[in-house]
Amino acid sequence: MRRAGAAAIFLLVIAGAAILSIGVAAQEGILTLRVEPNVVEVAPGASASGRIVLRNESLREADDVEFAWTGATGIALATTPQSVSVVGAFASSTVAFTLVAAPTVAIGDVRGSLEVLYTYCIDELCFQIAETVPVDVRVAATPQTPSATALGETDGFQPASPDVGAWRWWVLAVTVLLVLVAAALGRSRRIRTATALALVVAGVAVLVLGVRLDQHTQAQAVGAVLCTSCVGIETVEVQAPRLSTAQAAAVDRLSKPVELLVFYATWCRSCPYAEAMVDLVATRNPLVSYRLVNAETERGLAAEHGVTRAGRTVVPAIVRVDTGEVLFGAEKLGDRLVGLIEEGM
Amino acid sequence: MRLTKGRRLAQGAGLLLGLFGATGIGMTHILFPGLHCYACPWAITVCPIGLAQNLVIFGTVPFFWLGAIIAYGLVAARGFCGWFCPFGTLNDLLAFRKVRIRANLSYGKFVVLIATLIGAWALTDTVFCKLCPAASLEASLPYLFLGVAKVNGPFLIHMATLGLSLVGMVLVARFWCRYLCPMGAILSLFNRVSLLHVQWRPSSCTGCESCIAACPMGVDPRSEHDSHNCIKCGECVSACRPDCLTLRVGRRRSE
Repeated sequence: MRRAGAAAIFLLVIAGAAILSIGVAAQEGILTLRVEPNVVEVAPGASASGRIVLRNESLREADDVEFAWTGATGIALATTPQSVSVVGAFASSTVAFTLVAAPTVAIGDVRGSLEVLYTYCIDELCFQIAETVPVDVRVAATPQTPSATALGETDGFQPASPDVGAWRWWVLAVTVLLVLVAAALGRSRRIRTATALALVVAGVAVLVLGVRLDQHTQAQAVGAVLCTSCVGIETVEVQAPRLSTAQAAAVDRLSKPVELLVFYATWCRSCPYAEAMVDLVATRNPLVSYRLVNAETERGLAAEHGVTRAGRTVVPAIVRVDTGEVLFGAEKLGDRLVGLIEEGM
Repeated sequence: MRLTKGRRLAQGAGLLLGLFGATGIGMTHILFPGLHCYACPWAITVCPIGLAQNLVIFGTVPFFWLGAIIAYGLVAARGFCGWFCPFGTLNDLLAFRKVRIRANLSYGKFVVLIATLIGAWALTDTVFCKLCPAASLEASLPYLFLGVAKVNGPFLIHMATLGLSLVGMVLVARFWCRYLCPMGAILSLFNRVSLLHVQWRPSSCTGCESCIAACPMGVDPRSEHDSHNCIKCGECVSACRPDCLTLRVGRRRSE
């Protein structure tokens, strides 16, 4: 019987996995883009190089990043920049590009732009994102920057962060193997000491490597922002938001402007539903206005509006600015949101 | 007795670190050397199991995580279960009865660990967190009182796993640590190389077996003091009259 009881608990653990598989998505970009140098200087008929830094600010991977050039007559890409297969969570990647100026291009400042196309996925749902970053080009007879090169050459810009390639899996495999060896050791004191020393070396190496790759920041970020569906405070709403007849009538009755702040995180599963619900209400009655606030980057604003509870920022959170009242989560949001905005009307 | 008092103090320090966010300090980069939910409103440390699931979901090679785990493993391994982990302390406090289970279910914690990682990979979700009794106690209940959580399906699942675990803890000493804790499973891999260890001198052993009676994990400290089940709590050392068991820090001696 006791064995059956313990087995039942374990089965509960496994069964929970099946019960709680859920997912919806956000549609906002997850990369921040920066072009270096600020102004790319190029002589007519020559080429010049720049680079674009892709910084992934979210917990999701950005996949298949591709580039295209638009605008700035007489300026073009010498070759299409190499696409990036993956920009990992909290990672950065740098891609060099070479611009070529036509011999007849006029001297002066022009602005073109790089279009960056990529996808990211939450569970089975994937989104294609197109973002544009402006590139300022100065066409000068004698460029001041040393980046001008002969046509077709690259300038050898190196990625800012260390390249993490296939070797990382080898480092991981060797270290894990060492841990497993330690677990299976016999009583020989010498072998135990040698294994412990090897583990010290491996442990320090992977710890330093992890810090260099900014994984400690990733760890901190995972804990600092709490998504209500991620630790089982609520389930994710997967249906499109709707207002019942009574809720819609209540929204229509509003007579004064109401300003809302919607705090979200790019990786939060409950946030898209909350954003869509607020948008639905704001579309129905223009007296309702709202602003989306990234809780990860706007920590001060989150603390100011009570979205940070006991040191933890909780998303999704909807704040009514004039009363300071806060709604957390997305469960039964229609009723709660209508209650929030009709208060005092 | 001195050992027991020292352990109580260390367990108090573990609880203090677990709730240090009450001072206003926000989340830090430190991994907690035990099972302590990072969603706890007063946590300043990251739960290693919660983070491990996230890393599996993101496909990150877990260098930082592994480095921190190796450091904890080399220092005390499962000694953190016996001396520091707040959830382990709760197990201690509720150990009112000592029901002996003959079947060897202690490998269950490795099954839970593997299921946790596979669940995170297959379902791209932190599945264990949604069932974890530590999260039930340290996140679901506080957030209910803070007005963030509501009594809903996920909350009731959390309460069910917490309730079952508490019943287990009352009936079987260190029930969670013995059979189910994935963090205990990870730390146990280092039990044979950690600086903190139990030493046994067979030459002075009288075979009274008082150490076996004292062990909260239900193991024989004479033969299993460096097995994956030993939490190095030192209860056997306190119970051993001939002093043939000692709790040591440093290099191991030949037995």
